[in-house]
Amino acid sequence: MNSYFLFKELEEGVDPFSPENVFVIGVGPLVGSGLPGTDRVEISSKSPLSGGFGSANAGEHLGLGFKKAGFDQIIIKGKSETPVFLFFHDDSFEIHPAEGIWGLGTCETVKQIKKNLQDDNLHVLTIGPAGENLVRFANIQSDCYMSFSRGGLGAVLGSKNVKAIVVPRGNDYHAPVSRPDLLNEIRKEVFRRIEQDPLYQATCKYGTMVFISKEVSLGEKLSAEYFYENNKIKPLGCYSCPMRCSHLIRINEGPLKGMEFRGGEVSPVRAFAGPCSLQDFDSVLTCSEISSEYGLEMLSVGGVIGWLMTCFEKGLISIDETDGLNVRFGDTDVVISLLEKIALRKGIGNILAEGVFRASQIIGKGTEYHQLSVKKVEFQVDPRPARPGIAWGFAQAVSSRSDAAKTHPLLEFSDSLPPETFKHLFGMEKTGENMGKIIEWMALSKGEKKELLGDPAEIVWQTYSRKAKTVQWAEGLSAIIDSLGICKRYSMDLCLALGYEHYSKMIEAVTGLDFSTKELAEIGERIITLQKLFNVREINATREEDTFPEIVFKEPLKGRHRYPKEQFELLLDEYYESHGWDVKTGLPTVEKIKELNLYDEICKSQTLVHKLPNKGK
Amino acid sequence: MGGYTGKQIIIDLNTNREKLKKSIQRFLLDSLAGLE
Repeated sequence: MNSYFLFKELEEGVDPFSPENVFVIGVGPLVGSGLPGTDRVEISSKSPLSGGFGSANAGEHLGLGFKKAGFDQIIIKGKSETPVFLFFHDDSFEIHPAEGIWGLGTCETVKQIKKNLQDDNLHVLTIGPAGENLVRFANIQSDCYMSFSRGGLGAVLGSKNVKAIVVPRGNDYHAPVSRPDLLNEIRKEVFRRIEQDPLYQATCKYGTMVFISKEVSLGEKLSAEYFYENNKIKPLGCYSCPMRCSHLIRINEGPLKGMEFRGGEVSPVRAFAGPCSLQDFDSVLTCSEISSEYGLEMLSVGGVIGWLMTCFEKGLISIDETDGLNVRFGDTDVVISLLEKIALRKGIGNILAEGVFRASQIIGKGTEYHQLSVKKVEFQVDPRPARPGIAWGFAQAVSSRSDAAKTHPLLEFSDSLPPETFKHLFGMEKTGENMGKIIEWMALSKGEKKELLGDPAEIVWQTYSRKAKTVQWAEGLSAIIDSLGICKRYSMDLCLALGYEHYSKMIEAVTGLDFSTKELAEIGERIITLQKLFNVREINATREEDTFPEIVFKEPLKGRHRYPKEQFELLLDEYYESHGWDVKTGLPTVEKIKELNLYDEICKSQTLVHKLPNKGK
Repeated sequence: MGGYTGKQIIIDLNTNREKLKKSIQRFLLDSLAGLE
């Protein structure tokens, strides 16, 4: 519904920072039902970073707060004359002045708003200085420790002079349920599927750090095991979920030494250890915490700083251009200085705040070759063939928001692990028989298994076969999960604990609506196609745009080989074919759009009417 | 329709006023069924 309303309400070609941009907050129909992790909130807007479809998702208990406030969807248009925050409660809303909190960091804002409203029992979504200063990758922090991350939607709120959005805590909220008997039955089944999943124990222990277990980590002090021993204090969980995969953590060294907070996701490691070569958790967590306080999205800010370090090392950017900073890889103090410069748009930070693609265009001198982005969005992971697999890397090239985490194609994860890591995480040897047990466990129908894993079914992470089909399938499933308000940590992570059949039963239990697995798959396809059409309309997202920068196809990276261009092109062919889109242009066809009942909407855009091919080639 | 009430609000910050508040329950039914 977010995708639909964004497509419908946004006038074609509107600048993301203009008052006409539309900001949509959506809460799924399962939120508050007592099913595990049904607490997620999706936000959507035109992204200031890509210019295309922007979306981000967060949870913990947040969705229940919006439900308690009385709203399932909030659409914000226009621009306030002065800084404000919006307080939704009791089926209504209030607009409060925010001059006194404009300029504050995100955590400080949360404290001040609670103090101003004399109520601790609130959820506060807030932007930091980065959002106020229209940094193109500014995020929105939720209650100090969670964030709506990618695409710069914090800057959209900043452009509207909205500092924060507030709702009551909804821990006592219970969604009305159509069929309590069925809900009880499916709830038990979902708990069983989570708790018996082969990856459950390891995920409870390490959270998303399972991706960087010892043998596949980026350094001695950057493994899941090191994190568990040195930085994790205790596990934390979310709404109605048995899988306590979040953590209370502590920073042991550096300027924030002794600080304890909820966190410890793998994203900061990908952001700061990868591109910037920081070498230990304390440095990574420090930079992560400072980014959050400024309201900077980590993967993008890490990507743009990493690019600056590369260009500095290669002599393409001099110290005269970096405000005197010696921008060397692995220097935590330099990263901290740059975080402030970017958030406040000071000196070189003003250029970096534009994102890596635009920054490289502004500076030029060959720096363009080293920028790593897809449709102007910094990489979530470098796609050069690496763990957790080919599908994960490829998904970024075609994802509506240029991010594999949105798609979540994780079927290859188990095979991507070295034998000793596999044994450590799964508690069994990496043998053909045990891989067979994992395949057997995955919540895939017979048809899905054959299509995605072949016949006989097998998982081979370093081949390209069926990986584009896997991405197309995961996009649809992921869209359904986001629409329903469910956490992907258990639903698509683990070893695919849940599938369409489970979601069909959940919807029936809560809403009384009967949707077959086939109908749900079609709805997922409709959502993805609509997001694609938004990008075609706004940024001409054709086959030429669905690609990685040239350097990815030409050069290896830190032990990984270059991405084979010919394989990439074959993946694109397979991906468009799987969607039923035109292979030559990468565009959805009119025929397909009619099949998905989207034709009437498309006819309202002359751009789309003239651009889309009738039938696929 | 069980647990889904589907309340939508549209806010126009240019006027600092609520532009529209309506039920989107019907829309949800239609959109899920692909009839919108």
